[in-house]
Amino acid sequence: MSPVVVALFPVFGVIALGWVLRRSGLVAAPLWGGINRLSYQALMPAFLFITISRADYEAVPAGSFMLAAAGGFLAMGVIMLAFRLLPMPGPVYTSLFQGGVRWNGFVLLALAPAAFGEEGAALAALAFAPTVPLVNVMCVAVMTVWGKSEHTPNLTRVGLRIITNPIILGCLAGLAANVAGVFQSGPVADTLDLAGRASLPLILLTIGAGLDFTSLRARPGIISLSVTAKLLIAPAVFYALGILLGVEGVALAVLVGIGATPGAAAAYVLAREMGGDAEMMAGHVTATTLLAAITMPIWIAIAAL
Amino acid sequence: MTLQILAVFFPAFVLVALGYALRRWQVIPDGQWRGINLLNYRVLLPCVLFVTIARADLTQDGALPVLALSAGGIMLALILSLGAARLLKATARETAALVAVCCVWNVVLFFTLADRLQGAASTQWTGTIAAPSLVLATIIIVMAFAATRAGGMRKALPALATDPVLIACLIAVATALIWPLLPPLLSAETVETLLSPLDLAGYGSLALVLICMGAGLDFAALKGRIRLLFTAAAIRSVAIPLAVLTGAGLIGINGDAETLLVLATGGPSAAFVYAVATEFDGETGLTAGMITLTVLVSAIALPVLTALTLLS
Repeated sequence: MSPVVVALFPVFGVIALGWVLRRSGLVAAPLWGGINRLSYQALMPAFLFITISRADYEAVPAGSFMLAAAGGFLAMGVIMLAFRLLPMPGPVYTSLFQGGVRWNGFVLLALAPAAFGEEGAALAALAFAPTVPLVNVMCVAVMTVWGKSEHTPNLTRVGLRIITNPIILGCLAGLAANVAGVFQSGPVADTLDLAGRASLPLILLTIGAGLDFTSLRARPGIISLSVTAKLLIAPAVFYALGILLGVEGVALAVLVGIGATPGAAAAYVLAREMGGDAEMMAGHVTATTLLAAITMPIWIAIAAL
Repeated sequence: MTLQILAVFFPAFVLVALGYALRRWQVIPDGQWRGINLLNYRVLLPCVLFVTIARADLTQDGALPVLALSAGGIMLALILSLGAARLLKATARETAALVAVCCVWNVVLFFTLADRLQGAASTQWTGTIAAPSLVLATIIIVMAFAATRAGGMRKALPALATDPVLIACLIAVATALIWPLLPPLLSAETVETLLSPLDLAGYGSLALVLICMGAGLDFAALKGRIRLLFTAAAIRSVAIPLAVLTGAGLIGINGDAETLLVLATGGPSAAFVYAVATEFDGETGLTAGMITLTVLVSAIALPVLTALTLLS
């Protein structure tokens, strides 16, 4: 069996477990808020910090990789802007845009150590720092123009939320520690390592708990389009950019993995807050999460050829 | 040696402190801990117990004395706590709390510390040590709390039959025993792949359980009934591990198994005792105080006791 498939099995297994837990009522829907909050605000920043601070970025082509990753998201932004030519209401379009550009990096982070080794995991973690604000700024801009919120979106609040995002802060602090050569070992690093390890299973469980199959019925045509953009066009764009910029080996596989990840639940939250089509967004996240189990290993295998 | 011990214990107890801080400062509000605790008790803990015990070689050389000493530690805790309750003239409800807190050690802290101390090698014994203790302790605490209320025993059997920890332990023990007897239908690789989601969910989440342990600490509950509180901590965190250490010496258990036995039996009481106390309308305040004190005492006693086994 391919190592990527073996690595993906527990990832999607835990996502499925999260869905079963919510669906069966073993952990009812309203109770997931605390789990979500603890994972994103405390545990995931610790994980990103320790992964980035301990990584040896001199051994990998981090520069060209980062350039290709940021370029990939920008290119997807441009491609998704072209979809505005299709006749559809503004709010629906904003969700289509978000569907094409947002990535669920946690799936890749969970997969990376087993599929790509430590080097690949370090690259996947590093990609968060510039791309999370970049993607958010693109999405907020599109939502501001075409979203239809009942109240005027508070852009200062949204901006502040992007800047103070714990995920970004964790990445930046990890990068600073890496450069300064501190907190890479010893009791503080061990504590963060232990705490961080809990983040991925919890986030995968919450991804599963958030799956909503009834939302697949909302605008199936547009969802098909957003799924195609996310799972077929995006990985192809990242692959092409990677080749163009001379990214190869594990770095290319991780880069294509970034493009091939499913949609992120954060898109649903933003759609609800800024007047997008939240139900369509939920459908997109559900569909891409299910289909990525098939398309991700294929794309990564193509990149590894 | 001191540094090695500190390196093992520091991260685990910092996470316990982090859990306390997150709740104390309402970073995670009170209401949201319910979901986290539920996920812990119903899913993550059973996952980690299943994968650990199912992989244990319960019939390996030297397993019987380890199994016996692990279970013996629980039985001794039961006897000592009942005796102490009688001496202190504790009420039935106080006795139930004392018995429960003394009999249950924190299995997640044990797995975390064992992994930090011995790495992957610890799995040779962790399942063997955990299996009998958890089955026995779960039965004892449910019966102890159930016995203190009218109709409680009627409620105890369904509670035991649906207890996720007990179910996970029993299925895992059955799996561990039956597995080697089955013809090789599945390769070891396939089995590992099948277990991998439970591994990721369970082992990955050890830190969460430690954080929840900290969130459950209740220093206000330490006021009053001092004698009962200190008796619980003395039995749970000092007397039992010392007795197990002596027992290990007498029956010739040494090395990794001896250290792990002390690490397990000297741990603080498990937070799920509080959940059982709540379910059976037990002495929740006293139970919370006892658990808190066992955490504090174990934070000092356990490193010392572990160092003793390493020195010997």
